[in-house]
Amino acid sequence: MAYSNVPIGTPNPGCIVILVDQSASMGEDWENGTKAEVAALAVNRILEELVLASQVGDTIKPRCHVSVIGYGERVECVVDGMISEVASSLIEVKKVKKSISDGAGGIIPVDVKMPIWVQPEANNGTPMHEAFERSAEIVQRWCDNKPDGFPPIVINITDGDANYPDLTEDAARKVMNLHTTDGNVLIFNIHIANNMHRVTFPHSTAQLVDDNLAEFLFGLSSILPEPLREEAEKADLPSEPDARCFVYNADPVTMIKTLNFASLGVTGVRPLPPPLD
Amino acid sequence: MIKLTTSSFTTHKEAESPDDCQDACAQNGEKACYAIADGATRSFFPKEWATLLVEHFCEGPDLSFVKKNWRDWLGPIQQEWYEQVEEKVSERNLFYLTNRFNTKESAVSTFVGIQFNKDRGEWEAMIVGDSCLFHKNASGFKGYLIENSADFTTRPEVFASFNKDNHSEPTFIHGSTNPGDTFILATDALAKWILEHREAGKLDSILSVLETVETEEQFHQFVHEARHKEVHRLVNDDVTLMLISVGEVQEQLDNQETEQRPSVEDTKSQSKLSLILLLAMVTVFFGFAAFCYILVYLFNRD
Repeated sequence: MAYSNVPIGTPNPGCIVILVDQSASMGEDWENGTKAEVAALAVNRILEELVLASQVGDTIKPRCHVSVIGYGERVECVVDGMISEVASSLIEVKKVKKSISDGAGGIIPVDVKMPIWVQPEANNGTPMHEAFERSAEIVQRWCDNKPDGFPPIVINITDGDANYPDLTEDAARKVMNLHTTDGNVLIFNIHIANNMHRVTFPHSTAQLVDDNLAEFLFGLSSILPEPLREEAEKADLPSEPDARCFVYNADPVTMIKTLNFASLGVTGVRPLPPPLD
Repeated sequence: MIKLTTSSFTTHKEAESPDDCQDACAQNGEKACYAIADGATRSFFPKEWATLLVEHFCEGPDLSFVKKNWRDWLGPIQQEWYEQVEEKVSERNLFYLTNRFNTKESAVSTFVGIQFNKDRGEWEAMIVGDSCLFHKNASGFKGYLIENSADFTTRPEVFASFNKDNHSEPTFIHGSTNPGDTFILATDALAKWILEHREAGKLDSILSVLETVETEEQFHQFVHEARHKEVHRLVNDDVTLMLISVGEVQEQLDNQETEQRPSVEDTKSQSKLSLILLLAMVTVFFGFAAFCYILVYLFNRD
């Protein structure tokens, strides 16, 4: 059965590629910051979760390959390597306060370090096709090296129209057709916007309001494989059969939920369990 | 009175290294204490915690005290774990170590410890989570605490290195045992595998395989084959097996041994006797020599 070679781990590493829109429109306000800032924060958090999920004692095991490609003023692969290498290739560490339970019913602030791999950027147009082309190279290489592994996952976070829709569709199709013996590459599209009409994992374009962009991104999204629907349900992302790996008009919470599911949930590299109390 | 023969084996996940294994086991024949623990891989320094748990148990706890004061019993090793981790974290200034340390993240581990009273043929065990104890005797095969393979979950109960995370009351069980019995301590993957075979009516065949494992090599071979079976495949996880065979102390043999190995007091008495005999012989020899000398002297004078 396809999409069953999980969980990923040192004996069976996975591959996750995250594409982040860094076009000018990502500079718009969105909740407590700009879209670019919130998206960068979410990507940094997910990379940290992947590091922690790969930690054994004081070492980080090479359980997955992670790439982050930003696209806007330029198309740049800002993160690329096994998670064990990525863990030590930060561009910055910010000191922040975090509130934790003191174990006696109280809350105390403690210093924690926030690792930064991706900086928020918002300039120029949306060369989404180039980002998909870059991801195709990474994914192709991975499938050649791990022909029986869990198929790579490509997650695209965007807020708008691609510069060249036809080229983007061709590049995305190329990625989607790459495969291992365990299934085709999965493309998730997370569309972020200040719009209340949110659609998560639609199974038909009829669920979308009459919107060319929504239909375009629907077409670029993989069908959620049946073995992963139960996992999506657990992640509070219910779906019908043949649902697309696509959320439209996501707010920050939906974006983070989908990003978590697409990376940690799908691959079986779970985030740390929630606190026991 | 019973005697106990044990063997224990641990191995890591396939394609990982021995250092990645978070299981621990320990035994103390003198105190008749045996323990295994399965540190949760994604908790914070679980191997250190699992090792402290089994070693602490094998010091021979008073289980009637531990039953009522298990948090206190954990106290000294929680402190030791904290100090060990503090040293490791301070050596390397890495966000994934300092953040988890500063936010007081626990190491967690499942646990099985069993203590025997050899004179009375009795045992008592303390169990937390899905590491299992199996007791095979004349009346059958009993599993503690899990009896069905479907009952294993991804969130077992655990002992935690910070008391704020200790919500799982350990379970204490006890029983009697006779020569011919076997106890098996197994971490979750192997325990589940054993129960799956019992449910499939294949318990005897797999027990006969387990009971014949004597060397590390045989154990690794067994685990490898079990992981690649067509059905009832052993999950690719760390695996720990401890086998405790109960035998009879043979009094006749002990008597023979007593004869062969005299006590210290006996040895001292024998030494004294030997010394007296030696002195007597020396005295007789010199006395006889003196007598001969006098005779020769008198004879020559005449």
